[in-house]
Amino acid sequence: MGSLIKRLAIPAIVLLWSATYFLEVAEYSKKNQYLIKPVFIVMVILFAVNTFTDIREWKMERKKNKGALQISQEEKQVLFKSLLVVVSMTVYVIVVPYFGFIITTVVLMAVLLLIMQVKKSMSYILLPLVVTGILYAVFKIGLRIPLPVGFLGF
Amino acid sequence: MQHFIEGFSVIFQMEYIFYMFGGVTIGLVLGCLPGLTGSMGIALMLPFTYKMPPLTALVFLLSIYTGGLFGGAVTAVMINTPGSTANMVTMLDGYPMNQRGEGGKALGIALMSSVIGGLIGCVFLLFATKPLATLSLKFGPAEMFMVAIFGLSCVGSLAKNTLKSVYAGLFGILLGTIGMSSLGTIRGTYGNMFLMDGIPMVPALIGFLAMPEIINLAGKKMMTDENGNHSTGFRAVLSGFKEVLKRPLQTVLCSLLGVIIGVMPAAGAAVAGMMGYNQSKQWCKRGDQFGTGIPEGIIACETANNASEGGALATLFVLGIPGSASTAMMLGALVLQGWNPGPKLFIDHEDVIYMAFSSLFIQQFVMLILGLVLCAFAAYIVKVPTKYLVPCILVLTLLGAFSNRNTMFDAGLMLLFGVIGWAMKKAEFPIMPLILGLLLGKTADNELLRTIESYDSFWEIFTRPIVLVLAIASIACVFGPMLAKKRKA
Repeated sequence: MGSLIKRLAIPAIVLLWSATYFLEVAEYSKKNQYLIKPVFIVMVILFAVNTFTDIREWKMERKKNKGALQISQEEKQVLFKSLLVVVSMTVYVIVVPYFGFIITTVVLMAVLLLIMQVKKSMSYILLPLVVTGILYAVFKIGLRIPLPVGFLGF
Repeated sequence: MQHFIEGFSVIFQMEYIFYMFGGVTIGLVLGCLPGLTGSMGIALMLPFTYKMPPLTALVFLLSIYTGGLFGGAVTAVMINTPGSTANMVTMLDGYPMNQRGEGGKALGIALMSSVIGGLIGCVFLLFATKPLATLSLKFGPAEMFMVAIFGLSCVGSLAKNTLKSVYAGLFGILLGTIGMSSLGTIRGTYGNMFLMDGIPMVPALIGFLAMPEIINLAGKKMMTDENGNHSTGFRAVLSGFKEVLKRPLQTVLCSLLGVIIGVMPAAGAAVAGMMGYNQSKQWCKRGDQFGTGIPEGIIACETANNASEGGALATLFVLGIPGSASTAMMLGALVLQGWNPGPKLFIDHEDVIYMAFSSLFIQQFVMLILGLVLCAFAAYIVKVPTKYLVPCILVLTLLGAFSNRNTMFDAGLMLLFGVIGWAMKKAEFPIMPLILGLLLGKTADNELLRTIESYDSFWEIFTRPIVLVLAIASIACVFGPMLAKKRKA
């Protein structure tokens, strides 16, 4: 059942968002719906066909494999790593305006190296400092892009 | 023509050679950095051109433009992150080649294709500038709407599962219409002012295309097969050159397609690359293997997008109409020089413009030299263990998304798209049709509205010959691959 939910979740979420968007646009003048309305209608039809096809395929796969498909330990580890990466990057996006580019990027790099299970302890200090320094030089000094400045002023 | 030949004697002066090398280097470096493009390079260097003579300014800015178009292919091949929208189809075959340990060869193919595409674009710019630019004047809203439909018609053939591909494409179209419409209505922004101009392309590209791949990389020790042979260095890049030279017909046809699309206002290098890819998929014998890492896929995109430069510059110089952000900035630089934009631009400054055309030819060879060095070293990236590479790429993608508009909102948006893209990949939904829809959705929406407003009946537009040709071509694009599949079965 889990693999079926995995298959159907994304098209369902997409359709749900599309429906809310279409309902919002439907409140405006008809001119705003010229393209959006036919696109949404076709999406609903395709969703129905896709759901039917996916259920049929899932049933056939289940018959073939005689039971639910198991996720390997390695896959679980990769999934967990991915989750940690996304969470650490989200935290970075939230805190970077407060702590500034340099501090936050150095910390993020170190955290990412930890998630990637780097064993050499020197890498946790050297790599974040070097990469952050290069990026700061290229973007801030070279390209004059106003990188986020924290409460410390850099 | 006389001005063009005389132009070479002027362009070979040390001053211009220096500016060409400098400009192409800036373009290549910025093109390589995800989120930064050649257009940005032109914007950054614009203030430096204030005091330059018009020809020097033109040569310098054109060099950045030339370098920027190829630079994006390097990251598209090496880390599955296109430097700009123009190179996004390059990664479909470039990255699988890199994963097989043929990164150097793939880069060589991209470089040689870019150079040949650029040269063919230059030839057309020289001989067909006036007639092609006159043709583009006949492009009204109905024609532009059909151009968008023509671009979207390849959605179905971009992936194996047509149903999922079209569904993703339609989702992309809806995403593309977010923001302020041409009527001034704000749609789907949820009150967020950062979405007023629509979904920004750079975070969307990085999020949807690069993030799922980087997440996937986190589970591997190396980027490529650990026991496989990695093709790196000059030899590998040169072997890629041979692959392009073996396919002269595809190279020329895709370049011609690129030039024609480049002439159309606002169609741009991205559409040219996609159309080149889609058409090649239908023409080539190995069409069914596109997307698995074959040279034809890279040649198709890179020749077309570089050749479109010639077409875009034709409309800029003859009609004074900028077809893209880069050409608009170039026009801005010319206005600062005291030139008046519009059809008189070419008549008033014919000598300088033809000399700039001469420099465009030389720039392609400058790009070949600098690109060769860049490709030879970039190919070594596959030898870096992913535990060090992934953190560096992740920080670069965050910074790339941020630097597009200097807002952390875009970095957040990139993360959101990254998660959606990853989930779509897991559910076997192709990303490329979504990107295509996102890119062309707004154009299709705006032009459809203008078309309906301009005509009594929508069907009236099919009385226009260009619309009719584009409509037939679009239908052929949709049903052609289906018929071919049935025939093979």
